[in-house]
Amino acid sequence: MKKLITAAVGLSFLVGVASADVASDQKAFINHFKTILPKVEFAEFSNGVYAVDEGSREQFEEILDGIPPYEGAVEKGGKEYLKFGLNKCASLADPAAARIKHPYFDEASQQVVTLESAIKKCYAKQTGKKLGSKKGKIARISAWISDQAVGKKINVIVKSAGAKAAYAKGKATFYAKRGQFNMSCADCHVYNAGKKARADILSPALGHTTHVPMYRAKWAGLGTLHRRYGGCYKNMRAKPLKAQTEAYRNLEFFHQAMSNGLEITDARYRK
Amino acid sequence: MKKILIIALSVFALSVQADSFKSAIKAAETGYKANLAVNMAWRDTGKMIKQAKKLYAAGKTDAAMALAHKAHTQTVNATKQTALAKNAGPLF
Ligand code: HEC
Repeated sequence: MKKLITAAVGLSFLVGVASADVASDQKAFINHFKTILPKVEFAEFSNGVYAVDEGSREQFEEILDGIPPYEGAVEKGGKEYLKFGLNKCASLADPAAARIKHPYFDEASQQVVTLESAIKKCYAKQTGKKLGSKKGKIARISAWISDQAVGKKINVIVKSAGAKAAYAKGKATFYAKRGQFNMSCADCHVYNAGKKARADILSPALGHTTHVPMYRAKWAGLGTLHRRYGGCYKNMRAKPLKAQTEAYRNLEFFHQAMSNGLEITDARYRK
Repeated sequence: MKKILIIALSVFALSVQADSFKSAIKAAETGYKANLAVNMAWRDTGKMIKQAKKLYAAGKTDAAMALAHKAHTQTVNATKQTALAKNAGPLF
């Protein structure tokens, strides 16, 4: 076992230092999921766990056929978008375009800009107040903005040296083992996707960002992607980072890029 | 004379205990701080450090020491993870 671990660590070292090329990374990523989940079509990965868990698929479809529990919240987000003047910021003036553009690497600040960080910045400019990062207003507004881009494809662009460095950091965060359980995101959402962990079936990381912010029955509300990152960190017994910190923005940059080409969806429901 | 010696000895023992708790908790705190700085801290280490201090203040020195050591061990393991984390990548 120890030898196996050493071999695995050695292997991951070799692969890990390879170039930060999104297209070839994503090709290997998709190939992996094709191998372990051969029956799931590429486009289906936008449905998260429901792409692999036939048992709960019916319930998911019933919820979507009716009035999903987040419909009112998303509508409210649209009103808030106008009420707080978010349409007056160039970054968000065209909401559908804003969803597609983010996350992107900003050369001036040498930072990844996520949709939520753009919303927070615009909100502060328009109202002089701070907006949270995980739930409530920011999740509603972000969900409404994303709704305007339904059917369009995720298209994260990683070109400059700075962008590649941020992407590489996000990738390392995704594959690094952390916390008391010594697990990585990939241990659950890549290598064991479709398998059961306690009461849950593990969703594939491919398609993880098509429906964000997501609604969770457990939360009884909408939450941002970084809220979910915090929850998974806690499950790994690692100390969660603050939402929208640089490390989480870099993680999102990598995480969203792995879903390039998948359609954005308003099917936000998860259990 | 005998009394003085006993008092002196027990004061000495107490201060030894205080010293070793202080150094144990300091090791845990230093490690934790370093883990936090690189975003690799474990979920419960901070709580364990707080709890160890409370136990110590309540005179439960053995339990306090044990917890401080446990917290320190967590930080050592988190530091080992940190070394591997930088080059982490897929196994395919
Ligand atoms: C111990 C296993 C485990 C680890 C490790 C783990 N997660 Fe999760 N994660 C879950 C479970 C269980 C769920 C809920 C069911 C599902 O969607 O997979 C979940 C859900 C999610 C979701 C929501 C998926 C959706 O469709 O809405 C995202 C995003 C996510 N995790 C990202 C991560 C990231 C990023 C990491 C690493 C920082 C991570 N997870 C680490 C178990 C894990």
